[in-house]
Amino acid sequence: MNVYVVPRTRIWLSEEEVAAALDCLPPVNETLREHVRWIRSYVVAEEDGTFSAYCVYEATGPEALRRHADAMMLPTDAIQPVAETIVAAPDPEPVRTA
Amino acid sequence: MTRTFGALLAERRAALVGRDAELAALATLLDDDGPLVAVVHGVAGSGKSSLLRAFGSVAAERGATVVTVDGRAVEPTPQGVVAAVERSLGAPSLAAVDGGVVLVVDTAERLRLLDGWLRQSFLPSLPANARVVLATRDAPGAVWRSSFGELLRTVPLGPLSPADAGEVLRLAGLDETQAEWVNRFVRGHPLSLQLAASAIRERPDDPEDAVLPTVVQELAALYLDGLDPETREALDATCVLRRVTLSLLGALLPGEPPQAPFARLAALPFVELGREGLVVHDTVREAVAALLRASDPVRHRAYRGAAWRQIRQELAGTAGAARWPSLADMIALVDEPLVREAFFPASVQHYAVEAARPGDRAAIEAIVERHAPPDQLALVRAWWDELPGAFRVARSPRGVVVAFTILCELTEVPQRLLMRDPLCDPSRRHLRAQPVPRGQRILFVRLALAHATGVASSPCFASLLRDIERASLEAGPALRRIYTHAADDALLEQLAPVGFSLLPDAPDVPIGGVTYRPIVCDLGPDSVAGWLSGLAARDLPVEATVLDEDARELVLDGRRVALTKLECDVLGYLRERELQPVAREALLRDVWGYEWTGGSNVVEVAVSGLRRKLGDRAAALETVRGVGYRLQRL
Repeated sequence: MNVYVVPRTRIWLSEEEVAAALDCLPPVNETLREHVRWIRSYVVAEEDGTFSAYCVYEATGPEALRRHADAMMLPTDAIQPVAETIVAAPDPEPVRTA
Repeated sequence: MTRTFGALLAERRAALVGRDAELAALATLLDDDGPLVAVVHGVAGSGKSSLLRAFGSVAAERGATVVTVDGRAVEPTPQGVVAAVERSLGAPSLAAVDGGVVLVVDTAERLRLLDGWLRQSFLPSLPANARVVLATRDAPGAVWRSSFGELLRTVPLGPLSPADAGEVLRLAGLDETQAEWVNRFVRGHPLSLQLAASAIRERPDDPEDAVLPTVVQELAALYLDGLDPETREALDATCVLRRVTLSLLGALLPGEPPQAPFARLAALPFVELGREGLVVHDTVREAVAALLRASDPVRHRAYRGAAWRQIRQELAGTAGAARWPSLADMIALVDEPLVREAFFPASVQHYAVEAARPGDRAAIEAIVERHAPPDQLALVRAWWDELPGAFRVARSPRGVVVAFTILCELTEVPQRLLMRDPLCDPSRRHLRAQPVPRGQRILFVRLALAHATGVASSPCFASLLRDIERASLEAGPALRRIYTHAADDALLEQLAPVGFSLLPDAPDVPIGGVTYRPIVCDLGPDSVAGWLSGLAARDLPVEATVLDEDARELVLDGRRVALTKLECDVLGYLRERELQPVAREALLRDVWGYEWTGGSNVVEVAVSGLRRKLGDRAAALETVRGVGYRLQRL
């Protein structure tokens, strides 16, 4: 499996939509567990009140990530393979653990 | 001088500290150009009920009629809500009221099964002079905001400011130092403030430097430690109950007249006297229950068992709308998450389930295409064309259809669909072989699918299953069976804990290469009440029903019922063939013997005697028209 970054700009209109998506993620991850492993997401509050996300996955390929996005009904801006991972420091205390 | 009504109103309002902004927000409902609906939301103990009471005083002062309904005391069906409003109003309709009228619904999260109906049917049907306030734990979902737009006012209740919290504590009798100390760990949570104030008043000499966590459960424990043993025992016993009545207390604490523990509980600061009895604040009740379950599981189970027996007895003695309080009591004893979450939701539910709209067809078809073969899609299209009212959809917060179900009474299915859809056949065959008494109703769940996961367990699929429970409750006390089918183990695994099982001897139904196995839930002769009683009885110390043929006695709910030899033989014969129709001729032949040539009503006499002795379980011995009898599980 390879690591991918999937940016998603202004995909949620409210915190409730973010919460609903997080609620739905575990069963979708379970059904696709052999093809996609969700690593983490950074959710960003935009100035216009919407929310964007930058998601990191391990996946067998872009097609598996498209299936994951389709199941979650989440549009994607792009599916970008990670060329190199550089960790300068571990992530700070997560706001929410999936 | 006699105190005036105006003075009383002012006092009630003044009792509410630190909620001026929220009260003013609610008061805009009373303005001519104000919002029509307000939703007050906040965590347990945040002071929603107090705010509603204060708002009620303001509304009354401005000439409005205030109608208050507590969601905990309402059957979560449309007729239950309408009846509760009429009862509180004392008139048949809000339209009959002159001037403004404010409908206040507290604990509205208990009516979450009716979310779609409230939003789409009930509120729009209210007269123009009505305004509505709902108090609930969670913020209103996006579907509410999009339905009402600017006409919906949302009033969140956060913690009180330090100054306001200090004021509450001073009103509760604490001095400046104590108030400051308490609010250091309570952080403005109104119920915690009250509990902490009570605990300190009761034990003023306790050290203040103890490590005190901020969670309200710990505060409750702090307060509970100060209770006398009798009050603590009463609280322990009643923590298994949704509400406390004298009859339930009598069953749980048989050692003393129930009036004494009732009075002790009523005096506690977190107990309120409601329409249906005493209500222990949810947060405290859950903390006490968790504590008892962990420290004395045997006593916890014994209380639950005693409550189950009493509630079952009370269910048997009521009918119609009067049955709901006991039914809700029984639901509160059910541990099964699918049932509990439907009636007593603990988590935020993001998906609103409602009747499908004409524009939903494409989304429904897309879901079927994702998870089912083309032949199934063709059948779903046929259902949409013939019976669109059977479709219900779960919507995401943005209103997108994420799941759907096809759900109707079997008698509603048009003949053309019955002939075309092979999945209708097994239930019809089963119904012919195992007929139900006249008037009993049958639900048919043709299909349930979620976009993301098909029939695998997921939050949006669970919302569909809860909607089936809503439909079961709405079908009323005559609901007998629910037929559906499972294409794989995932659905059966979710439904088996609530009583679904494979339809015996029914062949599988192949559609487009997928095999569907017919399944059924038979609720029994006592319908939803019997079904819930059965679910609640699991893992409880409730005596199994035993037929002691040597002693000619039936052990039923712990009591021994003496039987005649014939009654014992008939019951034994029927129990061996439980759930199956037994021909009257077979009973005559096998119980009375071939050579029997006596009068023709001997079977009826024995059955009638048995029913009398079965008491509130008499309905379990059913007459099957044109055949004979059938015994349900006793």
